[in-house]
Amino acid sequence: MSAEPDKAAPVFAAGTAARLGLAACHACKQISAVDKHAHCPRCGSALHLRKPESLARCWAFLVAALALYIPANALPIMVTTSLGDTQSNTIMSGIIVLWGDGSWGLALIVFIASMVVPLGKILALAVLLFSVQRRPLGGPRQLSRLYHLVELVGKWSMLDVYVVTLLTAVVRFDAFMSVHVGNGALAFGGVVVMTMLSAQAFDPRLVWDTAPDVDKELARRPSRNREARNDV
Amino acid sequence: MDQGGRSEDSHDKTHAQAGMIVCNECDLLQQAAVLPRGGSLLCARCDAPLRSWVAQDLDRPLALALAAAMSFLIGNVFPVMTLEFQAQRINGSMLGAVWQMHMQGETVVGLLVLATAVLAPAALISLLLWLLLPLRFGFRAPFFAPLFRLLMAVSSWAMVEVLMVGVVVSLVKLGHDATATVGIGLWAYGATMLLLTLLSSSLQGEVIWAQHERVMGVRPLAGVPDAEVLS
Repeated sequence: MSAEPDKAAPVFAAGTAARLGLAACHACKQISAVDKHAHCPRCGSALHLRKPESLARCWAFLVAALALYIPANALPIMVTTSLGDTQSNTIMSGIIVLWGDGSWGLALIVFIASMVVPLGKILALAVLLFSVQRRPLGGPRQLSRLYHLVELVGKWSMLDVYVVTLLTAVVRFDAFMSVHVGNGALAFGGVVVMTMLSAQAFDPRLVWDTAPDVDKELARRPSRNREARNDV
Repeated sequence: MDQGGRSEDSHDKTHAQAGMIVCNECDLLQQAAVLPRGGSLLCARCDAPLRSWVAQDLDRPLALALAAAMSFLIGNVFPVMTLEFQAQRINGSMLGAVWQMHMQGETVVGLLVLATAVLAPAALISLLLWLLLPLRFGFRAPFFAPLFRLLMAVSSWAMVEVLMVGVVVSLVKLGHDATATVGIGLWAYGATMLLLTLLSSSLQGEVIWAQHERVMGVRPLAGVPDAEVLS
């Protein structure tokens, strides 16, 4: 077989595995030819050059996350009853209470985990989708890094769900003091799961596939590539 | 014989670490250099991390997984925190907390906590033991490939470290109204968190398969013929 650019498949940039009809298994990294194998010959995972329906699935989860984001912030996530006095807290008012109590450090952590991370994730995924579908809002290297960040911080938004669950579990002194979960917690948990699924559906390789001068990007470090390739 | 075994081992090492590798982020197919101890490989085009050095044997990951199994078990048996208020004591364990959510009608939230704080880490640890323990002693566990895939799918949903911060925030929030104390379960969960972090940096899926090939006595799959790429 020749490694000359295949004219039937001009979509993929030179040097990529997809250009040669090869895919690395997403579970075990084994490299196989996709025309011969529908599933990884080693571990049996489905093989694709790119994640199937990546953009549509990413959008679907993202829209679901955005829809859930409204009740997640508007509805109380925690209802505290103390000697007949009932107090409802949303995510934001919970942070303000924590701040008012003097726990600034923790208030900041919860603020980042519950406000900055979910909103930032939704925005970042929208930027990535827009970059791939319309025009790049940054270089492929920057966009790759953005995606990496989204994957890294994703699960930290679960923080508030855990806090509410733990408080509900131990604060059960009937009329004196008790904590109940609000419906906001359900919506908020939904936001976390939906943004995680959206990020998993996105295929970061699309950023490089659609980069305008990906070949120039590749040529930027010819020495390193050649060195790496000949270093057998 | 010892000498022979050792040289075979070192051959395995170079074999497993050389060969072609594809970048997850930009799909560049490239030759993977043999990694020195502690080294890591970056993609030639996009600088994304491709692979870090890990030991090619299973002793360290297995020891960590066994320790994680024990600490995780303790973490789920004992209360994570205890609250005292006017001569009443309430113990909060993770499973108890999930049950409490169910009793309040928020079953879905309870299930979410159960899945991410209890089931996913439990599955992660037990799947690792299921796959690695027999391999270490020269056997192949039943359902090896499907359970390997399950392991990979489940690993991004374990959120033990987030739970740890959640417990700290809860303790601070409780500080004003009652006496909250840390339970044995919390320390055990903390140990599990550290062990899982060490595990993820000392094991790669490729090593599991390299060991699998060694045990099964099959040659590694050819993957890419070098000529195809380099010509």
